[in-house]
Amino acid sequence: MARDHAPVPTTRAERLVFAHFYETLLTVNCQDRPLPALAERWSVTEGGRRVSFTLRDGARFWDGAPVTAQDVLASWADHEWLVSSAAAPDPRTVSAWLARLDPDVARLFADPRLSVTRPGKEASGPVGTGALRPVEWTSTRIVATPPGRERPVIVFRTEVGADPRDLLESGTDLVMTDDPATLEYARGHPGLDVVPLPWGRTYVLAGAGFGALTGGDSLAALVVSAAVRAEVRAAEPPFWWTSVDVCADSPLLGTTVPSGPAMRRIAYAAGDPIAQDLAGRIVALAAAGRALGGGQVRAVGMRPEAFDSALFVGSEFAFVTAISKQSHPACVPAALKRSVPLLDARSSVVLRRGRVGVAVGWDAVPRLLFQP
Amino acid sequence: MTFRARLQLAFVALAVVSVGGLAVAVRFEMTRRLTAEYQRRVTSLVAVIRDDLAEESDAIARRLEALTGALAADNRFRLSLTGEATPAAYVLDYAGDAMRRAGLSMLQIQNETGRIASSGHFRNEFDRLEPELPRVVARAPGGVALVEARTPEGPFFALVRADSVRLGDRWMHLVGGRAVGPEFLRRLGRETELAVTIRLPDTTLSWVGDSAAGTGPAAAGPIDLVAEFPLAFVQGDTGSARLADARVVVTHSLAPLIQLRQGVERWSLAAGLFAVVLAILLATWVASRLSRPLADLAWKTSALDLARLDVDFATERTDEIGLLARVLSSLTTRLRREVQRLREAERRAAMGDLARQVNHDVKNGLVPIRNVLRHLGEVADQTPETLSQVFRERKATLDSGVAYLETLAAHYARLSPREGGQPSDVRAAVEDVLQGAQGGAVALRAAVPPGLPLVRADALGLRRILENLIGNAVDASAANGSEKAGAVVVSAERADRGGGALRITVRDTGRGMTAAQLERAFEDFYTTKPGGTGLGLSIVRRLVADLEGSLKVETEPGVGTTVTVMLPTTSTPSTAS
Repeated sequence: MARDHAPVPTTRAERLVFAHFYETLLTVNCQDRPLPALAERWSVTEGGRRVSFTLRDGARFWDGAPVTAQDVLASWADHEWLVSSAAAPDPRTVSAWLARLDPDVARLFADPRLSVTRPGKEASGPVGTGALRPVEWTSTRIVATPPGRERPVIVFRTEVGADPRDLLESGTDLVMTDDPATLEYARGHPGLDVVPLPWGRTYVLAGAGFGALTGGDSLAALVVSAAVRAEVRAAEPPFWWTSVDVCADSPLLGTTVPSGPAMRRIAYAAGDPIAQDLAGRIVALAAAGRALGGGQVRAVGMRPEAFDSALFVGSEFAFVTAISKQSHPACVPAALKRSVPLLDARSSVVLRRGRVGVAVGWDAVPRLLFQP
Repeated sequence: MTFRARLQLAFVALAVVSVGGLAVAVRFEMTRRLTAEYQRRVTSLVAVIRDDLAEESDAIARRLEALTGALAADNRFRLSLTGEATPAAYVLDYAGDAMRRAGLSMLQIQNETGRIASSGHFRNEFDRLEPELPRVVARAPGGVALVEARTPEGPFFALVRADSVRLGDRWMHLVGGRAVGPEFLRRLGRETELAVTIRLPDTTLSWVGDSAAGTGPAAAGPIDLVAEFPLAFVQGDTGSARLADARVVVTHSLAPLIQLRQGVERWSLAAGLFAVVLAILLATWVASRLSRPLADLAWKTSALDLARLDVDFATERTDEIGLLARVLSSLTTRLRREVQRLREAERRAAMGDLARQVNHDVKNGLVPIRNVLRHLGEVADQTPETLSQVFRERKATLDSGVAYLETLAAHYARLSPREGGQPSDVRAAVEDVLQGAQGGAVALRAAVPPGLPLVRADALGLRRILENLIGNAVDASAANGSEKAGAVVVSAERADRGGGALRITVRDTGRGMTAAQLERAFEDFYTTKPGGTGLGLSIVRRLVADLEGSLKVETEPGVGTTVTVMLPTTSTPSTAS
């Protein structure tokens, strides 16, 4: 059956917004424990091969229709990477036989790609079960209300290049940011609270053409201390990508990496200031003969789509990229299999005190809290 | 080549040479003056650029001075410096903010050991050691030098100065400046034809800037004007920085001059073509004016002949053509007089000729009559009883002779030798003449086949031709000086397969003629026969000419003579058998 899946978030802002519109069967709290969401109970049997969920009593779509086991089965339709087969013994129970064994099997069902939706004529696409329902959706502004209610009205806005401090001063109730100047400003502001989010990203140097470090220090120690203007720490495991298979169509390392000094470039996704700073630091260390065997290395910012493509085929000397600690794709580009973790980074949310509350889950996404 | 064509060629050559010469002269003079002007511009621009660079250096110095003042007053910076071993974020970010506020493109703050504490153009370059850079820059002439600075994305060039500030017990060194890129060089160049480049020593970079931005070529072209002056350049990397000479090169492209020159050449070519066309038209007109009177004179002169000397060469012109016309007019006047005189003489000669011809023809007509009468006299004396019979036999000859004389008389009476309208039968005429001829010992023979076409000749004229030729042949053969009897053969045949002419040949075995005799054979009154009139062959010649025929004589002394007469035929064949 053709089906409209929930839109998959590609940026941290979209993660925040979509998490309010679409629900998964489970969520995970910041202590890494799975919590009920659309499913009120679940059990893992057959040695971790089978997971059964019982849907929450009274779970409904925005339009009031009850969420059924068939809706859940339909939401798994295109996710063979996780679910090899499934069954719905009754309208409130679904069972999934998994395509792989994973110790965190329950957590995988908190992936936003597995959100339960139904086709519909909503402003954003499919009908969801989330706490908010979009009533207006443009490229720069999304307006939402709780389903069946007119208040409160929540406005999500895209503000490119704006200073977060200006946004806060002009009445915005919640800002998610990495900017240390904004956080410093908020901490000194009596009406604002700063809530740090979980360590959500690990920055790595990936690629085939590096490895020779001089001076005895590790590359991570050389770059982490002062290179970036964000809240960071030394990278900490688990590094899930080291145990995931390489995608079948991602070329083996060394087969496409250009050689020669003219092509020693470190690529990063333009628009990610942490990656840019890290790439710049590595270039400086290389110029000083303290990293990458010294010599001429250049940093190059690439458009995100071009960067993803280059990373996948390994067409640059090296890459600085952020890997989500929560997302577990079925396979990874070959370049990531030989990567050096540099640091973990996290964002913070700045909240206007008394206006809005948030709950933060394992996925590092803050969710607005409403009065019932 | 006609006179007119020569005139046209001369005009075209004159036009092309004039226009071409003018174009070459203009091109040469224009190139000389513009090149000198360009050279002056290049020289003056070099002076201006030197001033600009000095001003730029002063501006950088003022900004660095302001920055050192601000740095000295910044307590947070001082405290950060004295804090942890790892540079604090404030220090790391200081140079970036300060560089942007001061309007610089490069700024790095180093401590006494040369370690970079803060870098504005490359934030993450902290900790790098560059102890020589501030000292080398300070030693540069004017305290300003070109350096190759770095960013994560790649190097760029900057014009920098160095300054220092004392913070507590330590010195901090600032090296800062402005980027030297395509825009900077374009601003120095000011004009599109002038390009400013910087040539670096010992490096493959021959200039600074982006060729795609159009700041000029890496090296001057062979025809460009160039001037240059030195600029200090910090060469080498960490630990080996030293001063070297870069060259600021001002190039004036001669492309506009070349374009101008090509324009002049194009216009010259166009003017040349126009001049050629104009010259052709003008030459045609002038040549026509000059050559038309000459052509008129030539046409009038071509119309002149002895029968028409009344051409009028009269003209009012006083130039050479007028002189030529008058000479020709005088010439025709003289010719007219001479022709008049000649005609008079000819008329008198013709009268005498006529008289002699009448005499000759009458004598020819009388010969058969006299022969018959002599024969009849002999018969009357010797056999009178046969006289009647002989008379009857010879009466036809008498009648023929008398008829000939009558026709001759009528002919002369009309004073027209040509009757020509009635075709004549050659075979009958030959037989008639041979019958009346007295060959004596000479054998007379005719070889005229039947069925020949009639000739376009009156019978009298044809008979006179044959009588004269046969008579001459008989006389020549009878007097050939040998004992062997002579022979005369008269033959006739078609001159060609299709008819059209008849060839009549009278061949004798007489004594023939020498070349000298032959040459005069057709003159009147020239004869080699005793008692001859010298008119026979000349009469034959005139008669044949009147009948539009031709006459040929082949002779060899001691062998004989063959006279061939060609006469035009009619399409009607002879009926005689």
